[in-house]
Amino acid sequence: MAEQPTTALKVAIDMPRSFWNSRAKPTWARSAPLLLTLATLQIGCNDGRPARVPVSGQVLIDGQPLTHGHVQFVPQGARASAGVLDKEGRFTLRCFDKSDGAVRGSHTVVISGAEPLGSTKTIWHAPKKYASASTSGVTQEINGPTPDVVIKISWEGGQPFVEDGNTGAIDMYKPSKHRSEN
Amino acid sequence: MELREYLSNSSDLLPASIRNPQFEIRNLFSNPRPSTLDSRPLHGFTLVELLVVIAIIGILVALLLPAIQAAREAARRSQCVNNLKQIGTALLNYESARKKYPPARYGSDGSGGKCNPCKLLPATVREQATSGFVLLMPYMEGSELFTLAKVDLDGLWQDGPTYEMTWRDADRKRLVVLRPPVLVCPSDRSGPVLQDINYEGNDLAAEGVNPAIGSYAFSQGTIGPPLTSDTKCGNTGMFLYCIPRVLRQISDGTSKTFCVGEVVASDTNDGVNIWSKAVRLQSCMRTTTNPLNAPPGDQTYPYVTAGTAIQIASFGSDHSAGANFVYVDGHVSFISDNVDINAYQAASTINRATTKASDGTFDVADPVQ
Repeated sequence: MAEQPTTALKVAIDMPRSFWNSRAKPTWARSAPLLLTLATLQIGCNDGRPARVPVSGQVLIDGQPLTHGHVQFVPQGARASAGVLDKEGRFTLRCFDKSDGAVRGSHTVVISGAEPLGSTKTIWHAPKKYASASTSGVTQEINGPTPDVVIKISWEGGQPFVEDGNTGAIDMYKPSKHRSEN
Repeated sequence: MELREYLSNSSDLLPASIRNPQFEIRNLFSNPRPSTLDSRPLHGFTLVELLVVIAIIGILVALLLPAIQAAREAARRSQCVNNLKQIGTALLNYESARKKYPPARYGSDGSGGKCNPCKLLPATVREQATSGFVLLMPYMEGSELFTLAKVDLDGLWQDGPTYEMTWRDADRKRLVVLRPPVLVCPSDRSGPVLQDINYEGNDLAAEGVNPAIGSYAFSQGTIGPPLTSDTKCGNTGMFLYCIPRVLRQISDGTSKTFCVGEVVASDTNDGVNIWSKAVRLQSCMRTTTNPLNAPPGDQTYPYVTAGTAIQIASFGSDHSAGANFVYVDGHVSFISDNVDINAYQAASTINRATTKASDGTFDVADPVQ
């Protein structure tokens, strides 16, 4: 009879060891404390920034992808988001951090189809009026994660041109001429 | 009687170790071995005790460190606010003495368009890139620095061919490597000079002169990047090439328009900010096109180029989540990264409604000094 308390004590001491024994437990149970800690940290690390949703899309000018320049999504009452256009006219927005998208709500879309040509000239691949929030006239609603925004703009008879950043002189864009300058 | 015999026969009042037949005199002066009666040593801590104490001290230090760091950053930030306050006061004194604000860049670069009035300036002035901070020096107890620049005799950083070489005398080379403390934010992690002495805009690279950089830049307004001819003299903010603003142009209100703000990575080619040189969308001249603290060199944002550098002309700071700005009325505010982009841009313009550059108040017969 004197053996019994000793055995019970032994079991009690051994239990924690078997509790943490990896082979004795399913994976989810072992990772539970880790997940709980991470979840707590996640809540604790709220940086006070407004919520953003991922946004990406494409800019088309007269049906063709706009292959140079940037878009900027300007909301009301929050930080703007920006994206660079790739060779297919596609962009992914950045607000605070890389590819974190934009805040929800109505945005004025600013499209600057500008490509720097050396340090003094700019090639405009889209009309200049789209490069200012006051004259762009393009708006886009962002109500949730949006991977397929399509923004359609038009030259309305105009064509790409080169602006001299010093003199303001406008020159018709000729790839053969302007590319060889730089 | 020998000492040993005497001790072994003496009373129980003596310690057990002394009554022990194995006793030796030296045991009195050294740490005795643990006896069966008393298994712990008489002196010292066990390893566990030490570890516990170290752990407790560690936890206390860990609790204290963030508080110390926060206090240090608060001190640095208040030094930065103080610097901007000085600059704001100097601007007001300048305005008070001359009835106009300094331009961000004393001369221009031969540009036409809205910079045409600059062509009327004396030849020695019109193509120099002397920054507004140099012009402000006499109002910030820096008269001797201003004298070194000799702004009306070639000045600094001549752009045009006429005086490109003649300005490079010993005085000016001495000036551009000096770094006035009032232009340096203690939180700014940039080094004191350009990392890349061969940066395209450093005309003194061949002579081994590496110009000093500053933490602050003038607000140009909302135009650019991308580069357009309006970025120099047709911009919407307080500071332009060669054309000074006057107080009555600021119809948004002096407490609603900022003059000077902070910049980061000023020693890199992407964020270059040479304090003595003013270049649109680069050194000493920034816009609010891109959001506050947008990182220099990030191609996600509209940019201008100089060599391989990607310059996005944003304001920013190494303080946490925002930057300090001084306004026309002299007050300094911390603007958060979360600021409404429209409010941020409105604060950089002098007249949100019309945003026109210059209304013809430029007076050529009015040299700075």
